[in-house]
Amino acid sequence: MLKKYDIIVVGAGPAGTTTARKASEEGASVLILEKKRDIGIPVRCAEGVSEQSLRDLIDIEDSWIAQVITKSKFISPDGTEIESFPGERGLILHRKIFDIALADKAVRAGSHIVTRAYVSGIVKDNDQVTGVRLEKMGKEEEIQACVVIGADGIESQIGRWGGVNIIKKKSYILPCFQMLLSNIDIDPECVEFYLGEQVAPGGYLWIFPKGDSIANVGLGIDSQRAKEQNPLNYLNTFIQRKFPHSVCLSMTAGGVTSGPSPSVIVGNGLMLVGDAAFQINPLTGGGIINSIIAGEIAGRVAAEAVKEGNVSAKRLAEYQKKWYKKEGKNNDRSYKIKKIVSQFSDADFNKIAKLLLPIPPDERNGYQIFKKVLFKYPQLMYDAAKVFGAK
Amino acid sequence: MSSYTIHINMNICDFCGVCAGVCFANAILMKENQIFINNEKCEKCCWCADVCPVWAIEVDGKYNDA
Repeated sequence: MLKKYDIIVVGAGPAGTTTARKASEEGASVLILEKKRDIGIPVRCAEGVSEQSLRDLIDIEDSWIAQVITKSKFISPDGTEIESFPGERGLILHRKIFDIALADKAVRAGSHIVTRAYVSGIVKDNDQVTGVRLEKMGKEEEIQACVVIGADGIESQIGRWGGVNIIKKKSYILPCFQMLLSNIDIDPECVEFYLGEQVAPGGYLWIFPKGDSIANVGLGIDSQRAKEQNPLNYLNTFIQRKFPHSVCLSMTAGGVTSGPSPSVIVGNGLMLVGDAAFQINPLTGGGIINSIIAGEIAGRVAAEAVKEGNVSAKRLAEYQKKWYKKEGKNNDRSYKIKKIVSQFSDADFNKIAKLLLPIPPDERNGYQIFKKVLFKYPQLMYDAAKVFGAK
Repeated sequence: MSSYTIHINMNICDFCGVCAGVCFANAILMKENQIFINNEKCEKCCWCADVCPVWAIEVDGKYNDA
């Protein structure tokens, strides 16, 4: 480890390692600092991605894939099952393997990684970030960098320390809980989503198969509702009813951000990527693809800025603009839809499910659902117009 | 109001860090398997207790009484 790098990335998840890889490829010297002992552990993720979206970004290796998904099923509060065959495949990944593979790519591109490296603060010169304070194995030191990139996840501190305050409202964070369940009776090629007040108020419950009788089963709920009953209780209730003979192999608590794109994610010598920058689709909670897209842009912009010798917030804002154009905009649209959907009652979900039943499963694409539901459900037309007509 | 103290029950905590992410007072720090609340910095908003998925954060000795 040197005393000075062009770029320091804090956090070795997909956002951090992708940013580092891209910056290294562009010729910058890059150090990744990971506070945990291991990369990829613990897994705090349902591990699902769209195969095509991932393939567009990266060469997929078989070892990353736990299960290929061909179907999805939504279950309304009254138990109506809406199955669809989207024609597009999904993948449930082994994040432990996937995260290490991404880290490996970064290292091969020239990045250096140090684990068990806790960043305890940011070093600043006036309002310019110039490095980080590092605690490793009981020793403290300062490491300098032209740009510090916070890829430090939901618990992100880098932004606040460095003067980039992302506004969070209570409704922007969904407390989540997930278990890896074994000995369950599922269709391994089908992801399931359960909706409703009793199951997951203000969010949804997911079943993401990782094999013939094993799956990630988890849920996220509205944080205000989590004060009455915590996500773990909701999950236990569901599991007792649905999978009474299951055995839990792993459990994780966590949070998913579900808010609009933050107005600022860069500062002088500072950038935020991934969960730290709210780069999660607010409707689905998916963040892996977002993180890789954002990381590629952030890494390139950071390396170019360092080369030019201008790492001001104004220069680094190119990343934020390009990100917004590429995905941020879509996330904002999803957020508007999410706000509408989160107001739906159980009766609304049940009614919509009944409307969708007559459509054959292989035709249940977005357009058909839209047409059918809107026709019978004029109030939605009004809400939908607000979403799609706003821009 | 300032009589509140907030602490994390380490028997329950999963080190997910959601609390640290929402703490505007920078009063919660987390390392690999340690998490600290600095009660002097804490502004007693209790949001950390609200978002904790497992209710590991105790406010004034009571669970989630925010």
